[in-house]
Amino acid sequence: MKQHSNTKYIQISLTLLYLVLFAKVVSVIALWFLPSHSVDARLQNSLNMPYMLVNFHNMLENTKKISQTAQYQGSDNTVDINTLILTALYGQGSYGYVIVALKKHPRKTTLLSVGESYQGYKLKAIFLNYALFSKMNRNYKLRLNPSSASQDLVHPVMSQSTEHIIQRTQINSYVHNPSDIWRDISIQQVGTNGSFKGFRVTRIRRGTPFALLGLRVGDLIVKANNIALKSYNDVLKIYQNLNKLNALTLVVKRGNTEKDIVYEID
Amino acid sequence: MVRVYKFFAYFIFFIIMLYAFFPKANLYYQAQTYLANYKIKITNATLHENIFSLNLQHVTVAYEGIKTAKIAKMHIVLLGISNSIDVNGIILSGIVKNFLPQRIDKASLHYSILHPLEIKAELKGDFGNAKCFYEIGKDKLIMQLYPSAIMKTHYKSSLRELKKLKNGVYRYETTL
Repeated sequence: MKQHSNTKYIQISLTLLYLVLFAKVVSVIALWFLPSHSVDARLQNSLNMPYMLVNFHNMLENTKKISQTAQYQGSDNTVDINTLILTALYGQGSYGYVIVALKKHPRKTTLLSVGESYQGYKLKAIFLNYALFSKMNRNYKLRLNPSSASQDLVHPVMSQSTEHIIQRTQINSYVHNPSDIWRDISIQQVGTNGSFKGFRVTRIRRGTPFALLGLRVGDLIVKANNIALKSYNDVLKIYQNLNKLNALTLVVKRGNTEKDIVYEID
Repeated sequence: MVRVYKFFAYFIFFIIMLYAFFPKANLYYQAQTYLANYKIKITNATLHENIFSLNLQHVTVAYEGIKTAKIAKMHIVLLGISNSIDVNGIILSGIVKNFLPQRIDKASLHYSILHPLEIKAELKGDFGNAKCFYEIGKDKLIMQLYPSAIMKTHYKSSLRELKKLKNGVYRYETTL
């Protein structure tokens, strides 16, 4: 009788052991199908390139000068690399262009393609945050200087654009008190998520800074700093970085015409 | 009849073992991937697996790339029959500070098989207390807010968006 009872307990124990093993096997199979690493979430605000407004008019004028300078490439009339600043670069390796300027004239920017020369330095290659120049068989690095780039905000030449200068203190005041924005201006989303058109200005309070900044009731804001406004989140992204911006360009549709309104933040 | 009881006893034992062995961290990664499809990203979490639960610490939540909230602690228990997520120390992003107080002390989400078509949530924070119900079949969200003094004095404009009931409770209802 006792033997029978022991057999019963052993049987139960074995069944439980099998169940434990089976649960473990199922878990291991699940492990095979489930992801083994966390989603690499690179938050978008760390990816956004800083928006910079560059004077293409100056660039075109200076490009003419470059071709003249290039003829004197072999002469000794060159400047030290420390006298140049790199305000922007686009491309990688042997493709792309950079924007350079003399330190003493940071607003007079020049657009250079790879192979072109400026002040005796020939642009050899473009890297992530610097440009490689060569002169007299020696290589020179010119690192990207974002602070000087941000100073290089000049007035663009566009037929359909207007520009305004805003004080940074004014911007900061709105950043710290967003409710003041909604007190002074009302915007309304136009279109649905599938076909989003932008934000319509429905009200501008008289005597407020918004009334002096070129926006009119009925304007449809479609882009801000070249980012198409497709949702309130796109607006929030701009708003979050507002105190870091040096310029804000709005593309608005007024009637049948599209208009650029440029705000230079002083 | 004894056999039926025996079967259920073994089955429950198997389910308990399955919960204990199941790779909860990997299940969390799967949930992360699923939420990423809806542009919700949960990152920077420190994971700690327990036998029947998963603890997360220092979590950052982002929606469409915008940092929306920071969470100090999350305690997740998914048992199938009764599931709960307890969240402590939520600090909402500065973008909401003009609409809501930023701090939420505690949020509890609960789903039970006894009420299969309803997810309940309770929130407590500087804004007051809130009870939320999500009706799964109808995709309907109902929130009842018991606002705090801070909410009543500093966030009147936000309260105006809600429907005021007789007993000082505010109600918000939307279909998702």
